[in-house]
Amino acid sequence: MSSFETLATVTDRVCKNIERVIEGKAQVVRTAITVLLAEGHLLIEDVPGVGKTMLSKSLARSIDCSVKRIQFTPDLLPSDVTGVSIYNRETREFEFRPGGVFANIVVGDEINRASPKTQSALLECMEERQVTVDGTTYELTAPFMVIATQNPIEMEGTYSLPEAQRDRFMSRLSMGYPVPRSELAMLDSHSAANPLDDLEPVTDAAEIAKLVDVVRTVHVSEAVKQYAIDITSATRRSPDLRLGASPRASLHLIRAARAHAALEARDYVIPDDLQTLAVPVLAHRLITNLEAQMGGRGAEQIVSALLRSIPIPEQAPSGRRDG
Amino acid sequence: MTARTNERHKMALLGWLATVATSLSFSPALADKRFVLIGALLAALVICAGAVLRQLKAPWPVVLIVQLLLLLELLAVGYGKGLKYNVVPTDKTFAGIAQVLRAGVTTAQEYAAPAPKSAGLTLMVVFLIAMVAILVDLLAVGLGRVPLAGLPLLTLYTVPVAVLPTGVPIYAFVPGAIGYICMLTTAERERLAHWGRLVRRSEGPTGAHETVDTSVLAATGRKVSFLALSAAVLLPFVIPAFAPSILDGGRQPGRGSGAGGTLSFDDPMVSLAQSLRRPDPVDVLLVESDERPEYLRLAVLDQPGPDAWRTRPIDLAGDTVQLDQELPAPVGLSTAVVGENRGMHILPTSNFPSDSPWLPVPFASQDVAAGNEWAFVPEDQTVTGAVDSADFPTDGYDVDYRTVEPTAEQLTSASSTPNDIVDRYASVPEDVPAEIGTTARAVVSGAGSDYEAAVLLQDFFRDGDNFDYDLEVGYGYGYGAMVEFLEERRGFCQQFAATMAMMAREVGIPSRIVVGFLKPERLDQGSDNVFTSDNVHSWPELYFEGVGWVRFEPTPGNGATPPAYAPRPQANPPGGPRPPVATATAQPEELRPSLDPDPGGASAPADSSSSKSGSDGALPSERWLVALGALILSVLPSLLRSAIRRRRTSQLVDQIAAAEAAWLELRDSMIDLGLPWKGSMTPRARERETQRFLDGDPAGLSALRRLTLSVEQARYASSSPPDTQPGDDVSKVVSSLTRAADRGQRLRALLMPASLVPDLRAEAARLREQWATRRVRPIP
Repeated sequence: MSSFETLATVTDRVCKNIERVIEGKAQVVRTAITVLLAEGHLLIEDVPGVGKTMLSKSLARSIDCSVKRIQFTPDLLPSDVTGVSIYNRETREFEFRPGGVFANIVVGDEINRASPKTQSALLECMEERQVTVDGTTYELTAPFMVIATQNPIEMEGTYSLPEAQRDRFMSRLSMGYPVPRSELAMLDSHSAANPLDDLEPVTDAAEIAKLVDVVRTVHVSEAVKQYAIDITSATRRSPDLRLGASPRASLHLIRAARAHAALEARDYVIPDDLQTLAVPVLAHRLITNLEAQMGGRGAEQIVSALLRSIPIPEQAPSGRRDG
Repeated sequence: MTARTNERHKMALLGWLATVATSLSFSPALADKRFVLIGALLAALVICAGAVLRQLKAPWPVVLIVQLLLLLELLAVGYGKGLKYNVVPTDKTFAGIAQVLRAGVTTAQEYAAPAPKSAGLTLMVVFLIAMVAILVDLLAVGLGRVPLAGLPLLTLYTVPVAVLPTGVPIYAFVPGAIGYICMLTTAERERLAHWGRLVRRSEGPTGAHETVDTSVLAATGRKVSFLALSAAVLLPFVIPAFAPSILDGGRQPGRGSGAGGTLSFDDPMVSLAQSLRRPDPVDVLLVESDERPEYLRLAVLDQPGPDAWRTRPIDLAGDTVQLDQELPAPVGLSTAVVGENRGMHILPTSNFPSDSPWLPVPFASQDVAAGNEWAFVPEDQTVTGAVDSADFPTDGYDVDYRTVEPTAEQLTSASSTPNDIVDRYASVPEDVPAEIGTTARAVVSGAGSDYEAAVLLQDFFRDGDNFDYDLEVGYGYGYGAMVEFLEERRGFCQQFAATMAMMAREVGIPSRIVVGFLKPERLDQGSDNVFTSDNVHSWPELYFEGVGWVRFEPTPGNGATPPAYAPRPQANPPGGPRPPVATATAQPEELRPSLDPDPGGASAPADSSSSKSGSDGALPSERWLVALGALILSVLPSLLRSAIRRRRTSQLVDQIAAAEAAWLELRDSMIDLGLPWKGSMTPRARERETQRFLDGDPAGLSALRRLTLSVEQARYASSSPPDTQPGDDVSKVVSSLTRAADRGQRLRALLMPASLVPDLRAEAARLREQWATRRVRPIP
């Protein structure tokens, strides 16, 4: 079995497992796994009660690895997230007590309820996959993924994520309301017991780490890189946007596209991968200006419109192989 | 507005100014100076159109084509009639413009500078000005080659220089030169600015800003250009040059007086050649008459010789009639030949040789009031005097004369010629080479009468394909020269007149040569017809009993028209030696000079009928040409399309190129069929889109699937594309698409392949890039 086929079967298993809990959201689940394989972090944003936490927990449960959950509350402190050095009277030494981020999958629930001070405790660990406390740097184990949820409607007592923080999330997903049939099925399955309790892990951290290595081998041609840059630079020129996509966004886009291609058992990225992922990867980083807001154009629509107008790099350099 | 756009607009404006300034050099050539305004306006409109198109980023060929079309449209609106919806030119419009242009050509040929007011001439000049403006715009703005823009400007300047005998005054050169220098300076200054050296801070009304300091370089440039210009202007004065008279006159045999500005008629034929070859024609005669004078006769040459024809020695006492007596009618002229009495006043200018033994008079003079020092030679119908005793009529003289207008019937039915005339005028010296007689008899074979033979002879010379008018031939007009002339088939009136006269004698028609003047060069104020030294001419006269001496005109291409009684070959009897070519023979008729400068004016009925028959004769071939052109034009896109297709499939180096070529072919075929093809679609999205147009054809669908995969892998994968045949796949897909398309789409794809537009644009971009990389451009 080739490495891509293994990847396909494992991810299929994880998907099916999660779908036992989250009905009718195959695409969302797939994107979440894409982010996992692309070594990114996931931000799930939607109104309360559509299964944000359920998705993140089921994903965490499906993989046999360390999972920690941090409930972001207004009084949460940075040290609760990263960990703290405590003086041990017996040994008469400072002892490091790891915080919530020391796990393979960290579920940060209602992340925007914590103060910016606490939120920013995540900056280092998300980007650099390490924690520095009292001058000592602690590496986080791979795979490491932060799945955060937030509620966009409630404004009172929330602190919106700073741009730097948002940029560190590879992708933002919206669950959306389930279709009536799925909702019906959900009523049946969830009314008696919590299906999350029955969820068994279908893979483990080591296997995921291998799959991540497979994803890294996916080929990205010059034309596709150019297309990614065309997309991100178009957001910077768009008259509707106050803040365009960062270079990190280009990087995230390509990494996510690699994972997406691997999920389709393809060893090269095609523009379609970028088109599929552009909205989830880019939209949460963009800040629309007042005109676009007045015109009812959200970041998602703007990215979609840009995709329709950016030409695909047509011709491969003839006779020459890139990459 | 960007700096680049500003530069372009500035250069377009300078190009317009330079063109208009250069067009001023036409002013000495035309009496009607409105051409400057009209030309400037036309040029401004086409240049503005160019600027607008460039603003819209149109490529330069499009700009050029639109400018040319706009110019044609403007000219059609301004000068043509019968526009459809007042905008669209029709056949009638172009016919009208052609008519105006013909009138302009006639005016240009007929008159020396300054030519009188003529719509056709103005049209020609403004068209030239606007064309030059377009070229300057193209070179200076479109292609950024400002120095090259001097070439069309120079062309515009060269035209008046070439057509004006006296050249163009220096002040006419200056404005154009200044305009061109301004263009060059601006272009170079901007080039320098792109280099971005020598920055100078200056305080302007808008605050401090930095400009490129070009003052030092500009000063050096001014010094260099001043020196170069001075050297160019002054050197010709310093360096000794050959006078034009030496250069031109050296070839002329036996040049007589050579006194500046005057002519000599000692030997009429020699002076004729000298006059015609003068680099600077001078006015010789002023003739006042109601009708436009045509032929004025000076001397008659009736003695052929091995090197030249000579005049017969005239005994002033016996052979002449005093001018105060009644002048006898021409020999052989019967009263049956109609004509009308006319008069004219002839005033020789100071350029007319005062020692001339001859005075110019029209044929069949009845009364010549030139004083009693002069005598009339009835046999020749000329006026002569003993040179020494002749009192030259400096105030001019009145002549009454009767026109002679014989009909073809009268000439055909001419009775046999009296023996004394035959003896004197039809004798052929023994030493005349036999070729002349052989040629003459071959030409007139099949002629039913002497008259028909004469017409055939004239046609033999006049046929445009046969002989060329050339003043610079090296031979004279004796026997030997005639043989050479018949072989070389080029010469001027000397050779034509002498050879036709000799050939006529060979077939038994009495003949002689007349030297005189043909048609005035121009009209001066009022009714003064001006004959210049360019109008000196010679022609043969043939004798027909009952009509007398009859003029023929064998010389082609100098504006002379054959006499009405011996028209062009349309009147040829069947079985003539050379069947006339319709287009070639129609031309001289259409260019027939007319003194009426108004193109819409009435012309003689005979003229219109003849020109009409001429153009009718030309029409079918024109129609065929138009039809052929239309056919070629209609299949041209299709041919281009298939050429592109062939080239695509022939240049495949590997599987990747094959996949890309097939994909491009699919794109072009879909565009041709009018199916959507958007640039932002990935190969897979295109596949989904294209599937809709395949009508569920399984072969097409699978071929499309393979094609999409191969192009996707060619572009994006690291491994080689699968070993498929993209060329075959695309053929399958395209034929499937074509089958599913309706007939209109198929026809459009065949005749008007829309994909040519992006393909040609890509080709143009490629060439432009190639060209741009070859040019050394400063980095902005």
